[in-house]
Amino acid sequence: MLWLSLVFPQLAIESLPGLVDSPEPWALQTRERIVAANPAARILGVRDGLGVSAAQVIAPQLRHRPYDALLQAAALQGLAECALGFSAQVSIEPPQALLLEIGSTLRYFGGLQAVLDLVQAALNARQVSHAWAVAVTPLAALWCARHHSGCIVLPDACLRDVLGALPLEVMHLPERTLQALQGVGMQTLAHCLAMPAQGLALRYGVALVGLLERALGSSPDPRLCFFPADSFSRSIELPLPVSALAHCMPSLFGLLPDLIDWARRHGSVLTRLAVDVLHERQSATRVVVGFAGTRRIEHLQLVLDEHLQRVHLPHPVAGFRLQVLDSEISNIPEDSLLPAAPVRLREGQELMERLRARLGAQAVQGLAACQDHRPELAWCSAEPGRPSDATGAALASRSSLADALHAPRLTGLNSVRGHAGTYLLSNQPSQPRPLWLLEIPRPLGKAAAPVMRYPLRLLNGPERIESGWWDGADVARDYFIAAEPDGSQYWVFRDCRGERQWFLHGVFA
Amino acid sequence: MELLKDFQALLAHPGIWRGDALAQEVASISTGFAELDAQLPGQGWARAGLTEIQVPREGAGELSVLLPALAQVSREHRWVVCVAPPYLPYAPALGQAGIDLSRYMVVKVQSLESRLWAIEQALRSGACGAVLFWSKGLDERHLRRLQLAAIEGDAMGFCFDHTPQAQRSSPVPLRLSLRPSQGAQVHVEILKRRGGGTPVRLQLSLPRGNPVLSTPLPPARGRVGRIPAWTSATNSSPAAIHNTAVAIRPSHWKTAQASTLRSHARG
Repeated sequence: MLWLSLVFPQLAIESLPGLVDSPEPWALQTRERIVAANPAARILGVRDGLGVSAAQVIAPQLRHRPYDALLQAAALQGLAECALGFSAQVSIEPPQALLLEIGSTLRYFGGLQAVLDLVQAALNARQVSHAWAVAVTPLAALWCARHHSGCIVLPDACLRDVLGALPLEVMHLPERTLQALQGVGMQTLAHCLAMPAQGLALRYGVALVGLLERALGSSPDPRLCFFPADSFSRSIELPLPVSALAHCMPSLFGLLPDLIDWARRHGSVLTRLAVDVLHERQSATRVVVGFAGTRRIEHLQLVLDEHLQRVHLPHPVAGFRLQVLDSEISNIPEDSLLPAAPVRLREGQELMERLRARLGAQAVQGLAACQDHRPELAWCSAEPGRPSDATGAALASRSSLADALHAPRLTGLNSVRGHAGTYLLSNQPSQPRPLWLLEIPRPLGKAAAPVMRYPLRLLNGPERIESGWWDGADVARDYFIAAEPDGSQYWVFRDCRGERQWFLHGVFA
Repeated sequence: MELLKDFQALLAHPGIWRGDALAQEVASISTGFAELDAQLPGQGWARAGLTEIQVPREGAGELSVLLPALAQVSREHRWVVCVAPPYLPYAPALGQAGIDLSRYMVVKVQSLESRLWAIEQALRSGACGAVLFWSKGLDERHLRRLQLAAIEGDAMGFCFDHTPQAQRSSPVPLRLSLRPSQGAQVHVEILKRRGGGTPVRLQLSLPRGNPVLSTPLPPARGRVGRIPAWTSATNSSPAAIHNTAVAIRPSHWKTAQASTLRSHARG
């Protein structure tokens, strides 16, 4: 067992965006005490533990806001999820440390240095300041990291000597115990370790002895494993409310790496996300964005950007909350040898989502052929990219309509469909069909021949289409292919009822 | 003779480009018409780039000319996107032409700005094999931009143009003019192509089935009347097939039959 401990001393500040880099001094306070300060404030001399009024005297321009333990815990959880990429056993040491068992993954990553490089690269990418240490017991690693970063205690080294050099403060003992120990002149762990355990337990409590034994590895130290949440919900708060949404999009996009990590760990792709735009003292504005299944960060950014641009926000933006509403098991291979077909499919889906994000869902449609003789019902719009089972769906929907209209004749209708469906309705019409269809047939007069600009010459027909008495859209028409003098061809029909008018229904383009 | 030989050798140099030779080394997709393939650079539609097709109006055979290529594209699992079509693209006809409908996308947009945006997105995405759009409102600048997008996304863009002026300058590398002709044929004139050459006129037969005009059918059920003789019928034959699809309500079977009989008697 080899443990890597990661300590994030600035996590409270870093979990709030914009405070770390801010030129203004900022501090977090709880119960009128400063618990964290940004670099600008530290330069002015603001330290942790200072009273707020004292800090105001040192730095009059200091701005402060309440410390939010929940926010910090959420940030730590995000880091733990990231750490799961390097170790199967990650445990959280609140309020600002993580412990990773890396002994079992050294071989996979190719040595201790390689793991350390990867972890640091990942943390640097998230712009989190951190200290680390490696030791054979979790507590030893934690204490070393708290004292100074970069300490590596390998199993063959003498742990007792290394720990002995640490000051007592690294143990994070209760205030009373620490004061009592320092009161009798103990400064380092060596002083503690030199005392007989029985006497130490008698004077300062069993907990202290247990802690030392676990740090030395002489008693077991079982750790609770961190498991990533099944749902993803992450929020980010802006330092100040912003009225222009475009200015705070980078903060929202800052949540996306976590989201992608989460999806990758679950082996899933995202299908529905909810973005809650938070307002101060107002209920949040929710935007739900659907995807066909993606975890590409550039695509998420594009689509979220398009969707949010169209949202009207009643109040300034105070923050964002990103939630996964639905995800699917991924069927995208990470690194495929044969990328052609699935990649095309994905690009097509992404194109569709981009278009829909800007133009609206109804603006982008696929087509499917339906089994109906009536030309206007022989097609329907479908979801692009799905192999169409529209015929089945259309028949099903039509049957429900028919059920409603003719409930007593249900059995008769079914049997008609059962038999007729197989040989009367074939998948494609046997006669030529035009490539353009007019949504509403255009009347062409009542003369013996249809007239557009000139009288049309009938070339092919008639094809009688008489159908639909069961759903109210009863038609009886004779269809012809007709040509203009210049040779362009049209699909016209003559209504067999009423005034026997001619109509233009399609164009052979 | 020596000189002529040297000259021939010089002309065979790959670095020399002759005005009457068509540009050959373009990745292309067959048009499905051998006569047209022979005249196009690369023996077919260039796989990346725009093609402008001028037609006097919709219905000149402009889509039928593209169908074999579109079918090929959809079989390759690439998308065919139709941006702001003037009418409904009719799914059964597209299916008849062998186009995989699950690879067909129709985008309905109103404003010119969003239309341009959608066309460009589709061309650039890399997912589309072919993008069909109409030139109304597009100018030279737009077309140039779309041409670049098509090359980047490796997509064919087909721009249908209804403006009559053939001489209008255009950055599109291939321009055709189509005119309908009698008997499911279409006149094609190549106005501009890479590699130059004189304008070429062709006549293509569109695969649309032979015209058959059958004798008039009896009128629909429920109404008895006479159908006038078709004065313009050219090749009506008694052996022509009645293409009928009648769905008859089971409970009204007898009356329907009776009315049909009656109509036959009167006719």
